[in-house]
Amino acid sequence: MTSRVGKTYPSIRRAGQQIDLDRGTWAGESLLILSYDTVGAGVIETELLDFGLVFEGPPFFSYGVELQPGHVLVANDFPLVTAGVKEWKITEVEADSQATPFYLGAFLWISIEANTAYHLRFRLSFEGITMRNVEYIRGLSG
Amino acid sequence: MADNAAVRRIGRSLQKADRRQELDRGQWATLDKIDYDIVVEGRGEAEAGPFWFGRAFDVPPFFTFSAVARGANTGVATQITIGVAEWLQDEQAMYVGAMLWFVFDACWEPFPTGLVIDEDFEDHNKAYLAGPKGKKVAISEPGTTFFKVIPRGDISPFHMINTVLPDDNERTYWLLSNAAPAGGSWHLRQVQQSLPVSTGVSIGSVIVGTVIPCAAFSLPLIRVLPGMTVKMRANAKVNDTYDQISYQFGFGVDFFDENAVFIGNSGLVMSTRNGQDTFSKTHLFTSYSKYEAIWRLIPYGGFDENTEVNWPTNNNDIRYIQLRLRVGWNPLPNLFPYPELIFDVDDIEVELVGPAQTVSAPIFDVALNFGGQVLRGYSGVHPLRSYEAPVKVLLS
Repeated sequence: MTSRVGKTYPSIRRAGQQIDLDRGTWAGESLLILSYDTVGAGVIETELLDFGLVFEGPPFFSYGVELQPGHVLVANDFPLVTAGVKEWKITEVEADSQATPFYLGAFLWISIEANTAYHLRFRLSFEGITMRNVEYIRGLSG
Repeated sequence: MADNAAVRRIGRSLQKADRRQELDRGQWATLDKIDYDIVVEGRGEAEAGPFWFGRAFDVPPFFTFSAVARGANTGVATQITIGVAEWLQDEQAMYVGAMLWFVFDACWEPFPTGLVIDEDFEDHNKAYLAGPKGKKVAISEPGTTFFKVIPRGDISPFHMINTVLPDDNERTYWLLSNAAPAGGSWHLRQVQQSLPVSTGVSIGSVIVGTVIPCAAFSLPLIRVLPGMTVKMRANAKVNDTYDQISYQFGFGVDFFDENAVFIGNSGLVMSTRNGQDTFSKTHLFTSYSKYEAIWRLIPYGGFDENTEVNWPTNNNDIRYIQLRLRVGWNPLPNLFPYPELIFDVDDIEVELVGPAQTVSAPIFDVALNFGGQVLRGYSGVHPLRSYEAPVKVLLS
């Protein structure tokens, strides 16, 4: 059913379409998956994982793990692993500003419990709204 | 102006080309997710599969999972990992399936450990039970769990006992004269003399007909299960020069219900000696002697082995026990002042043997998810394996 408002006021409809267009221009849903290879067991903190994207808030993080090709499991010593975000890299925001920071990267911790020096490949997923033209909203620093 | 118009035309044609490319891409590939709902039962590890996707990913899909414990009594998982052990590829290197590994470190009981390491239960108790590698260990499975008792910090595990005498003015206090490192000695010193009264007095876990000042070392509460066997061993030695003193060295066990409320006890005196004994002091006490007590828990009905006195039979409420090691001596009334005695106790060991039958295995409902870009209409050299996967994984 066509909106009477749209019919009656085509300019309003056009304005709405423009807003949608603008929204699609400056932001969109993004899913970023990074691979991170490890060898051995223990707890590590990763270097900065740069998203190459600008998330408008902290992205949803999840991870999967797999053996690197050519490696096999050792019986009674299957690896137990966990991973989490230790610290986000965010843009600087002035103290008196109402603005919230953008999220540019992350430092992770990864824990691998096993006696075997497994070659593992972590697949790290970050999902959220990313900014396409940050300058359109406000300057990006940091 | 003309240049600008040309630029706009070129821009529009490039946009069209991009859209065309996206359209083409949409025709041969699309984002997709594949879910498997399976049941994982038990504790330990397993490799399972193959999990056939029934479609082809052009790159390894992103794999995630979630696990939910089924039922209230099937346990708490302390750690879970599910990973991809191997990607299964077809002749054209497309990703068409996966083998997975599972590791579930889960406990049987709602309470996460078989041993309750609770230092705060009694403030004076600063000892703890350390499992292998310092880990808490569930004992609700067949097998033996062995623990050494390790004093922690600079406070000896022995604590002061107030003997309950008819007259409040007559109390006997025994304090430690020094701290004991692991495997060291605990020196007991009487700091206030009193006149023993030959009436029934409850000391520690034993009721005796005469006063036996004693010091007891209580371990933290231990969660017990039907059929569990508890063994407690220790070496003991006492040094003194009094022939008129009898000694006791024993083990006790207190019983607690689900709410850790005391409901009874059992005592086991391992050795006694007095002046009339044929044992020689040298033989028995100046060299280390090893003592052992064994209890076996009838399904929530008390202990039935080697116990002597005062243990609750047919008590269905026992859920925790607290083991005690006690040393005591019985000075004759004409022996004053009380001597200062030094008991050396070391190598205290507690062995918990799980019940013959497991209570129940933990069961988890697990959702597996593979997501990524799949190829539309792709059949490869051979037809794709249809969507197919195990529905149950047993861990061991």
